[in-house]
Amino acid sequence: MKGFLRRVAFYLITAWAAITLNFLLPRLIPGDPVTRMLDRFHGQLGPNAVFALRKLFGQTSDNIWDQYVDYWTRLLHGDFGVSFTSYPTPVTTIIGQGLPWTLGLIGVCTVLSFIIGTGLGAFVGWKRGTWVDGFIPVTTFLTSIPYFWFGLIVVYVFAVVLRWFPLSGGYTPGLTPGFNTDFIGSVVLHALLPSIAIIVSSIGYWLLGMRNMMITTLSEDYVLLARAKGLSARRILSTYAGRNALLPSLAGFALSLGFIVGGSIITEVVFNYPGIGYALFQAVQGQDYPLMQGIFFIITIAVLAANLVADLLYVILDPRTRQGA
Amino acid sequence: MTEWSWGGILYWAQNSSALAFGAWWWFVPPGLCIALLGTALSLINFGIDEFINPRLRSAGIATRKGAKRAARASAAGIRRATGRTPRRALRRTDAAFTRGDVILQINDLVVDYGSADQPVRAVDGVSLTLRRGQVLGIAGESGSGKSTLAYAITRLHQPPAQITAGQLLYTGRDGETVDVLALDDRELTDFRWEELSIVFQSAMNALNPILRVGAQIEDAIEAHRPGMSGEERAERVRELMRLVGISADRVGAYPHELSGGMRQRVMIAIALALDPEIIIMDEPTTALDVVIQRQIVEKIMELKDRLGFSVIFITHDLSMLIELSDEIAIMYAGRVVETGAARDFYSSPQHPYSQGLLGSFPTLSGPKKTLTGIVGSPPDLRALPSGCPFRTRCPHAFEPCPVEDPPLLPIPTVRDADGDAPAPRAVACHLYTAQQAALAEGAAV
Repeated sequence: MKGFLRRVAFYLITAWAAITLNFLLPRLIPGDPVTRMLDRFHGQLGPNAVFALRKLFGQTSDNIWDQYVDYWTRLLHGDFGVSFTSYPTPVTTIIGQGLPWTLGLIGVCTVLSFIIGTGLGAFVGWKRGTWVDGFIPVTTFLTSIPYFWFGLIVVYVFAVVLRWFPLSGGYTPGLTPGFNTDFIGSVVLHALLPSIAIIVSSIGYWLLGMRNMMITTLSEDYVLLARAKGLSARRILSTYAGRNALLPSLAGFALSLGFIVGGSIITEVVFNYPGIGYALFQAVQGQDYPLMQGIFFIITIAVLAANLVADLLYVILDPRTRQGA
Repeated sequence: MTEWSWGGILYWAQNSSALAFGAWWWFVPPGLCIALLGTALSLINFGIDEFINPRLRSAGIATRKGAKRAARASAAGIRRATGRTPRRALRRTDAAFTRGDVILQINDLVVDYGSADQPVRAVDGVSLTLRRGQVLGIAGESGSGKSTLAYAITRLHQPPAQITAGQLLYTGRDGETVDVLALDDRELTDFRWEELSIVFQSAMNALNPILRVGAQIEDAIEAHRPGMSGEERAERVRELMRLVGISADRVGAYPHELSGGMRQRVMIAIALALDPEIIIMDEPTTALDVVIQRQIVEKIMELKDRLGFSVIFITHDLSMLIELSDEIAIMYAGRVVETGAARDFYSSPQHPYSQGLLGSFPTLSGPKKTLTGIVGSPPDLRALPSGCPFRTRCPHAFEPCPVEDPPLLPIPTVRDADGDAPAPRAVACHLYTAQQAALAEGAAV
């Protein structure tokens, strides 16, 4: 319990540091977002309007400490400000619209590719020295392919030339989002192509890591003893070799979970997918600081949450990490 | 634009919407080049991995040829072994088995390491006899082949090791004799642990770190007694824990929560799980301190007397063996150089190597003596000297030693003070050629 509280305290401090950085960074960047916004109006605004805008974006001439306190107050109220590019939509609304798509597509794919990759890796390591070793060069090649290039080729072949899959978007325009077969079918159809691209290009990473750990673990004495005891191949594979070999991969998995949000940009831009990565891409292009800040905040939280999950998984899978047991 | 890069080509292709106009030839080549270069770098990385981590090498892509050759050779070895002996019941004795009957007979066992063209012979024609309820001690330095022998007897040896010749005749309680080397995988799985189990040297490495020790005892029972209920199994696990001297409430402990001695006790409990007839102990006390060694050895002897199993006890500590064994075999360079009853060994080791071994260890009990040790280091099995492999380190080496490798032959024994029948002794050393010849002549007459 003490160990758990220490972890929680660690995460709170990390979150505080990250959020504070998130506050400082835009203020350190040369060029003032509001000035940039005002430029769009080509000086047609009166001083009152300018003041109102600055007030609106929290860029008053208050000292930085007051701004910081103000920033936290608004953050705790769930107020990330108003987007510049889609003015006056609140940032929270844009993030709220994008997040389910990103988590749905990239989150599910990351988990799937981890499960399939480590599963195959365990199998290939178990059957080492047979024909299954042929998986390794193939998946290594697929992993070496530049990701956006692979995405574009997939789109070109399957969406443009063969027309098997839709070209872009999260669902067929005109459908009303909701829990009906039409909409869900359309969502699945639209997600299929990006999913294949993500899984195919990332599976090799998990496969190779798991295979090597598996081979290392299989030469441990406890696996030999398990075989001597006459345990079934399935039990040796899962409880003796597999679970021990999986532990190092978990840390990598936690990191990749954290990068779901941040790493979604390329996929979503290539496939025109309406997720948070696409929103970030547009925010960067339009120098939409409040939106960027909001998304960075979400990324920070996602990375920390993923690490917490990995910590908990580790504790469940590896009794040696349980303190004071 | 004067300098082109692969990434630059892709950038311009994307900028000009090359794919939208079907200009795949603009887009595909640079991407493929990047992918191929990446794959090439990964393959170099595989090589480095396998270089750093030798465990990967046996299954490595770079060394696939070697692995295949080893697999072929070992398959051939098994076939040969299978061909020589009928698979089942060699002979049946209907008489009930009692203490002192032969339970395991090892005949001319040969274990080779490596490929068929240049094998290294780790166990070279070893013949030993284990009797029911007795302890057969095997001693020797590291590299003498004693652990390889232990793994070969359980058929747990890993490639590149392979059994190329010999017989392992096991006679069970029902009097039926089987050649362990002729068992197929299914029969072997049933045979191991049910009839013969093993205790590994390092309990820390032999226990699964993420599984409770109780579960590790239980799954051996579960695998062999599928009909047993969970409750019966749990009761048996608690009984085994008490048997080896661990309080039964430690079933839920993980290996890292137990001390070294406790872990070795758990290993013994696992070995006992199915009441086997033979337990092979491969240096079970080497990793422990002297006090714990003592406790473990006493526990093993107590259990042996209570449960009636036989033990093959392997160690480099000859003085410990003398205390706990009935019979002892000394191994050097993969062969047995001397066999005899334990009590004879202490008073009169015959082979110069046995004498050296005995002089290298303090006895746990008994008078003080000067430790002498053996000069030189264990032999390199790839380059053994001609004739007797021990001659380069032997203080008594003389003319015949480099010429001929002395065979293991019986030597004359004397009736001891109590008038008991003398235990047979055998030694492989030219010092005893005359005695051995005389004995053979006497037997012939």
